Amino acid sequence: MSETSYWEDVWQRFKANRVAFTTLWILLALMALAVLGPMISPYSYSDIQLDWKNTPPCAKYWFGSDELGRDLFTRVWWGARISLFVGITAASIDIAFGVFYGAISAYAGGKTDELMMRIADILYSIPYLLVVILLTVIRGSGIGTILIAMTLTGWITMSRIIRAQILQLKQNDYIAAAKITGASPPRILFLHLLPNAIGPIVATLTLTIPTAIFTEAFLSFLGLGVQAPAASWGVLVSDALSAMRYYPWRLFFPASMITLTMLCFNLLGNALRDALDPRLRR
Amino acid sequence: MFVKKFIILLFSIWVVITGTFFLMHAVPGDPFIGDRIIPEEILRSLYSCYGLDQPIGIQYLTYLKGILTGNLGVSIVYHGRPVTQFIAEGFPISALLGLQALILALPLGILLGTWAAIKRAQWQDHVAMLLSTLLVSVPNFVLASLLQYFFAMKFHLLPVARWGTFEHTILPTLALAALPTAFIARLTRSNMVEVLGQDYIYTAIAKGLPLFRIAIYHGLRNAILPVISYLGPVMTSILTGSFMVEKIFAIPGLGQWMIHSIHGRDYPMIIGLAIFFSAFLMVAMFLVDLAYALLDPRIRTARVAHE
Repeated sequence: MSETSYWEDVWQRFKANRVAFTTLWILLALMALAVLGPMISPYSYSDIQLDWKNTPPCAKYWFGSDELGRDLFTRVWWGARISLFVGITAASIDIAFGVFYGAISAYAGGKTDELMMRIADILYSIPYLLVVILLTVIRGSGIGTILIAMTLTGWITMSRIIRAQILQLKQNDYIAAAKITGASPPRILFLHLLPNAIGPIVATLTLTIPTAIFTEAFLSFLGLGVQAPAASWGVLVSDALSAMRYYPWRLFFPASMITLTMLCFNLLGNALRDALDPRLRR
Repeated sequence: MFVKKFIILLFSIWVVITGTFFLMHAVPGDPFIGDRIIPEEILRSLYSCYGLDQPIGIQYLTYLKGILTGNLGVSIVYHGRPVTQFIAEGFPISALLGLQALILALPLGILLGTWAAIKRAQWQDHVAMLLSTLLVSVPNFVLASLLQYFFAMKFHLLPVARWGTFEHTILPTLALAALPTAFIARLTRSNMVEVLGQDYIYTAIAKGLPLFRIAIYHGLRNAILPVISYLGPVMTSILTGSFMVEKIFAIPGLGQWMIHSIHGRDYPMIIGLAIFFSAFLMVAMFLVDLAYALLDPRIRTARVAHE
């Protein structure tokens, strides 16, 4: 009889979930198009063709063109690069810092834990949205500002999840055994505790990405996002809204890309959470 | 317990006020220097009029004192109109929309979640959960513009935008309610699935009661308690949504004013509204916590036993 390892088991359960498997392929396709789309298009994202303003989708402009005659196919995939980059980077920073903070807090325990969690509580009670708006107003808009603003308080949820996990794992005998054999705290933390918390980390990462993509779109929508002529999906949607009545296709493509991406990440995250949690095994 | 939470609440509000004040004063630039050249004397009198010639510490104390007496400063763009006046006009509108969205989302979400839990792992469950994932994934500005395009522009069923009658509130309310509905449905489902596995539910099933009746009469009161504790985040998401929905439907609510003040770099307005929004959300979260503890007999009795 062959033993199945944890990861083989996770993979089996993940593959059995056809919805999740499909979303993974869609996401990979979206990312590939984000890379290839602007390359295969004959236009650049900022080429202005005033004779071809607001063209509906056609052979020349696959997704149509905007009010300055810029090719929307190129702009949508250029926007995908920015939106996906911001979403994935912000989520990764959140997770990395959240894991670090939560793990240390839980491992230290006692007074340190109490203090670190109080600080997190107070930061958490400050509405995220306002931190983001204020910071963007102060620093001026741009990708850097968006990233800082989104990660400033975004890590707290993750740190709480990790803290709860580590507190639970800390009780296990193998941790006591590691301590007795003289393993250093960083070694116990990184080698024995964190690998066992990988399930929630991966699932939360996947579920944080759509939130980050949404926040970027929201900021762009308020006019606090990336600056023209560059465009994220949020900027494209925001630009298209004013002329929605006459040129609905300008809204259709970026809006459906945001929705599709967020939907896929959400479905994937839910599936991963189920697949990675051995307690849910039947 | 609540005294401690209340102190943390006050402390957090103070952190927000102080942080916002000093951050905004660290912004380089001058609110009065624009396209026109203003004579030195007028500039000086403008500074003294807005108290900007004082040292920053004094300005901060003046501002704190002002907040305690209900004064959030004056708008620079709208020629000295007090920020509180904008709040007095805009907040009731935003609050009405938010409240309508909440009133719609709560029963709808709870019902959807309960239904999914009863039909667990059957097609109804999958449909309900796919629907809620879809609603979570559609950004509300996309949903709002879709509703506006189809119901108002294409089929002329409802007003396109602006504010006035109940008809004007329908589309914005729907757009705002979508996310909370999905959120509440997911939460209710997972709680209900857990509750339905309890022994007392098996007893009820053994007595031959129909499952839907059991879920509503016996399950729901335990399953929706955690939903109450999530009303705080739900309010945050409605507030965030109101910024976009108010912009799309041209509704003169507080979110719209916030966007205007951001675009106009109207710093006193931004600070004032930001502090108002933050304080509102923090107080709301505190009240939700309070309500949760009062409603859950387990926490209530635990406290009595503790005392």
